[in-house]
Amino acid sequence: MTDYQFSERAYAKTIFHAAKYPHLAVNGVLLSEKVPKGNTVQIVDAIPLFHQCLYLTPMAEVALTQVDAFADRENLVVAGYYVAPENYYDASVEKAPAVKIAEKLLECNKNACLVVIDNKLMSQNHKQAALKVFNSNGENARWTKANYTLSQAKLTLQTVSELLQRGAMREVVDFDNHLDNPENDWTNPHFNRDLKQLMAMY
Amino acid sequence: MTYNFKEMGWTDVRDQFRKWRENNERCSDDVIQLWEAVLETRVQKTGNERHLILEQVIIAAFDTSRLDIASKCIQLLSTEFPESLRVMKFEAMRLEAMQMYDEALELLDEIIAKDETNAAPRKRKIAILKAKGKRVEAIKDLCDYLKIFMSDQEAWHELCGLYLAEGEYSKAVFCMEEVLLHNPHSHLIHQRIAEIRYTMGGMENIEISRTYYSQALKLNSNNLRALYGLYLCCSYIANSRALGSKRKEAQKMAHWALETAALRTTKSSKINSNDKLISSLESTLASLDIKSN
Repeated sequence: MTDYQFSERAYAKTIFHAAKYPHLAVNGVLLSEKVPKGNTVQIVDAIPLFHQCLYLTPMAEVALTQVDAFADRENLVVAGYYVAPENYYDASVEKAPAVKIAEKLLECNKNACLVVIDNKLMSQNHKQAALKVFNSNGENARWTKANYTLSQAKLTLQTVSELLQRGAMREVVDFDNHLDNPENDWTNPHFNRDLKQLMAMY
Repeated sequence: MTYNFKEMGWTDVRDQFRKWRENNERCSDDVIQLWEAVLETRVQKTGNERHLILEQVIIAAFDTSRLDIASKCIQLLSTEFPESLRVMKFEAMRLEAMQMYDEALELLDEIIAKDETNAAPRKRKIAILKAKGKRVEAIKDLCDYLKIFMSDQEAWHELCGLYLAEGEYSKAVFCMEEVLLHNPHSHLIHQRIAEIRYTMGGMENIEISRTYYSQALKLNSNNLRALYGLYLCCSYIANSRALGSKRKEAQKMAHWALETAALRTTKSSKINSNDKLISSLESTLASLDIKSN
């Protein structure tokens, strides 16, 4: 079974995206290195996609194509799909919006994972990572729980909590923001610094 | 946006609140920040606007989980307007915010009994169903509500969202068309209907989608989503088994749409070689195809 390791960057962008729109469902894709390290897939980045109309396909097709081309250019590969359900209590795969996208990603990358953000664990003081990771053995497209680790867990959780308190999530840009105004950069390069630099920024 | 409190006098804050009310913006974080820093102690000076400001602050307090502020403001309103149904609704919302749903429902039923024509408490009951995750019951109650209050656009919009979550795309389109009746010149509604039609799939729906995307572009030539959408629809038609002339026309339109989208994006985008990313659409569109079923 494949394990997953989340980098600080991927975790931070994912949580910030969910925190920016607390009243809406959000989704996005996760990028990883092309070759997994042994049995572990290294998730290094997250691209936030949408916060409205998650169930509609045209913009999702446009976004996924562009993200694919971007990943290829950066020598990465699309390795997962994350979603934060709208309802506070939803944390299961069945209730997660637009899981079809994850199923489609599985066809291109058999190590693709599905990450559901657990709303109950989203707080300004993260004690544990607010993610639930699933993967599938491909046979019958059923999602089973997968193991994951967070890189530099204690420091990452502390930094993310601190940044949430300081309002850093307002600056994360998703594909929807880009479609509203092309000046917005959905690759979020300003979040691509290490934790210490991010803390200094806010 | 963080506001510089020292520079903002209470009149500036009051004007800002009024601007947000008029534009229907719900900047709850900012409202609470400004309220606590500036306006709370001077709200008496705002005259008749006071009640509207208090209502705005109550809703912002619910959004940011500041139930202390909400309770204080509700108390202020209820001492001034005892027995007011409007204030009772806020009390019900406060119970809802504390997840005391049964008590909230009781209070809302009381309000409805006192005034059957009051739409707001009925909608709050549906909101409670949604919060509990009971989407199917929420849809049923919302349909019953719309049979009585047929011209409530907000409700049609909400029903559309609920149907989309359930996967009932044709019913969602119907709801959106009702909203369109109230806003025939809104490019956003046209675009939304086009997106739902595209998601439904099939030649007929894609052609209807193309029409709606074109209308959206006619109303607002800057709508980037409509440009991409038009490109997707025309590509589909160009690659399908339609008449030769239709396919040629679609091909031309698709080319134009993608070029315009690329131009508009690369003019202001900060991403490196964004145009290459967009042109990748042309090559990979055939392989990546997510459909609703």
